[in-house]
Amino acid sequence: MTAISATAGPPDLACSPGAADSRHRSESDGHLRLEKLSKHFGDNSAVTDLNISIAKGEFVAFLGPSGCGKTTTLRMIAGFVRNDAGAIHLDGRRIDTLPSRRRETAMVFQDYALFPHMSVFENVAFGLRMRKIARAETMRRVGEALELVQLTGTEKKFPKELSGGMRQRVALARAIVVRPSVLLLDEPLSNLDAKLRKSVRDEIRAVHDQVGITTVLVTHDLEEAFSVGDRVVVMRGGRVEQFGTPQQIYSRPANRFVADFVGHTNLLEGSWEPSATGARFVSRAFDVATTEGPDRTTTAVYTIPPSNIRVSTDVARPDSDIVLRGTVISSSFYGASYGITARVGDVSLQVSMVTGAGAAPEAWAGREIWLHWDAADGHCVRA
Amino acid sequence: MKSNKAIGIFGPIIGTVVIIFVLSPLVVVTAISFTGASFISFPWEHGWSLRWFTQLAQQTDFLTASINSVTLAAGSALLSIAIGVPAAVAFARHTFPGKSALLLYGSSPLFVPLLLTGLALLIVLSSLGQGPTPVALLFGFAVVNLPFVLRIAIATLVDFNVDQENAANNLGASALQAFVRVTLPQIGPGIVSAFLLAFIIAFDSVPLAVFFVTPDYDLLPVKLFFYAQTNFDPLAAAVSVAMIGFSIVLILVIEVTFGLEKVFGGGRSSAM
Repeated sequence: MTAISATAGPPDLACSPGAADSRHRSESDGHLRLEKLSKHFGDNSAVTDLNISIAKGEFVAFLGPSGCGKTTTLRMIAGFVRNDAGAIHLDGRRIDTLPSRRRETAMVFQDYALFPHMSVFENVAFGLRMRKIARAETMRRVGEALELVQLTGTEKKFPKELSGGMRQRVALARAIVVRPSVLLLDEPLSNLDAKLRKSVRDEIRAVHDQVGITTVLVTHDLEEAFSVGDRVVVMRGGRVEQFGTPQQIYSRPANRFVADFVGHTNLLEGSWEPSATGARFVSRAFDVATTEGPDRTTTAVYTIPPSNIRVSTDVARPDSDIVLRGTVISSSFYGASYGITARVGDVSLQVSMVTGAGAAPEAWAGREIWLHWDAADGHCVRA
Repeated sequence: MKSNKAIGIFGPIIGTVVIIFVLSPLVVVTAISFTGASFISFPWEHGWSLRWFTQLAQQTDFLTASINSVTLAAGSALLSIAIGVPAAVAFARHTFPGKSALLLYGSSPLFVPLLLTGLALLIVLSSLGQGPTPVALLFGFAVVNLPFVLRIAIATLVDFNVDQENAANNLGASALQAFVRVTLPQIGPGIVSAFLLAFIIAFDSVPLAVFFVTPDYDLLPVKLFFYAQTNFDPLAAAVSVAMIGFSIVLILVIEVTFGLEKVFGGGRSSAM
């Protein structure tokens, strides 16, 4: 495996730009730049004014519900769908006007799209044959690619003789063997069972790290996007809702949609208003000061992760920034944790408690408890 | 479950009955061709003989008519494939204004009796100052075959995953390379069956061909038709048996070809 990275690494990528090209672009220009990219099908706009800049070697995951435009974006990069407006630049060169075969991108399809009438070897060698690579070189590179995805020895098999996970890896080998500038992955794990998904996911990331190729992945699965992506683009309705590292997106969601989509369950309605010290979030249950905020009052949502809420059954009021009195509606035991639903006024809050902290929440239903957390654990976002 | 059980019992019975009904005329014709008598009769009544096959071999006009018919059928089937498959690609993969109307128009030869198509073709030809030539007939059959080729090719292409072509393009193949190397091998069986159907239609159709037969250009089904009208000898049966033999050889050749293709992983498994 280590021998591969030496030969297939970025320096000898077939499509690296000439020195003259690279001098013309500034460092702030990304390796892959999507500029005001738009696409509509009939009256429906699939993607609107998309601006994303991806660095060389970066792994970016496009995340969003189905129909959010993420797959259309990927297909525009690959050249299967022509953009109506905007531009795509790769290495400072405009590629959205080129046919798919000249774009130096390689796609792994959701259903793999392997050629069923060709053996594994012929599938992987297809791109090299189209590039008229010599026979010996083709043999060597196909061998390396199959070794990279741990499929050495399956050369003579046909796709229908392989399991889903193996087909997936053949598709990956077929894409990386041509040493593309950008690797495109369209929901690569969605057709695999849950157990396989995690191992193939780790493998995709491992292959990326070895080959160092700029990679764009499309998924509707939060865990998938967060675990493989250096940065994640959250999309909705053809627009970018947020672009950042998984940590930024999870801990500082840009708005209510992102907060909800990345799994924030405690979303408390209120208003966000400027104050003398900065800003305040005001809701019926509580007020809290925030370090940043809007210029004028807006509707907002306060989000607090279930694991950040502490509970107390003491009579004494606990000492935290935010302290609420609530009633336990239900509690469930999940093994490693308890999930508690508590009602505070007219809102309900989800609390996650680690098992073995001495408490026995299974008998808490109907009980009055304190729910409390520090201001730094919660986060206020625009509605 | 109940209906499956019923099929399980009646399936083989129905199948056997159907096969008997379909094959018995062929068996009767084959038997008659081996008769020693000079009129239509069974060989076990009047003695076994190969005399009608000997006579068929000596009568070169039947052979010439057969060659004409095979050439016509193959040529018109190829032409309808050449027109129909690219058209089917457009119908199966793209939406464009007037698509349904155009598809209906492409299927319209299906709704016109062949005799009328033949007459219409003759009228068009004469208005162009042309006579009933073999080439005109070839084009005529290509038109008649088109609906079948279109339907079969569209059905085959709809099953085909276009992303395979996208993948090929993305890996550096031109549109033509992608079609020839990826699509064609997979839709091949569908195209072969469309070709065979077109071939058979053009080969054994009397109504359209009857207008184009001249003393210099005869076609097997027309010749057989007129021969059987005026002669009551078993030569027609011998011709039929020769045709059956030819068909069996053809089917064996195709079977062997497909068998080989399966060995190489082909077939109709397009959803990959």
